[in-house]
Amino acid sequence: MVIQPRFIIEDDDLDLLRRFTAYMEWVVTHAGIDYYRRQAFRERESSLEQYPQDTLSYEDPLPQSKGEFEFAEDKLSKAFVNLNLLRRRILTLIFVQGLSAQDTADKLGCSVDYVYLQKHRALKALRDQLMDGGDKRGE
Amino acid sequence: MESRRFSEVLREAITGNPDAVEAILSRYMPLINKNSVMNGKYDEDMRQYIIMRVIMQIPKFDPDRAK
Repeated sequence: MVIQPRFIIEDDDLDLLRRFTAYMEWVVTHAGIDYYRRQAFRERESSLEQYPQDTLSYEDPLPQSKGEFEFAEDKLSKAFVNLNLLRRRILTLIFVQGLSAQDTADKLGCSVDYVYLQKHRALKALRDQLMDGGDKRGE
Repeated sequence: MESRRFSEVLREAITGNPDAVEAILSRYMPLINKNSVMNGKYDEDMRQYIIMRVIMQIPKFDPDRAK
């Protein structure tokens, strides 16, 4: 018989204790993951709130004219959407938010080398898609 | 506090007895604290959230389920 500070654990209870402990580990781990996701979602929402409203709504000043720049920008945005989520996030953090590779790695919880590698591959995928007309999906 | 049998306390916690829930929570508090770390820092809000989820999930445990 094992005596814990607040519980007496009989031999018959050992299986129940083992099952319940495994269940608690599952619950706690998933609660942590859920909390992390909610926080990430909240951060994403609040990062949009900090920009003035007029910068969020984009109105094309010259809707009739599709210049070369707009055309390229259109292609780029389509190619960007084809990248996977991680690469989009890395490019956004580095080029939009202006973070360093180290800060990006800290934020995403990965190594700096991995950030460089993914950034390189994302830019290559973008370049390839722009050359090929935006049909290829970024790996 | 007098020592009581684990299976007895767990069954009471599942039925919603607050003292039993507290006793079960205190037993698993180290596990909860260990998982209340985000970006390398202890997060009290996260700890509270996990405790809330644990309290909600305890009644869903079936102690008589076959192995």
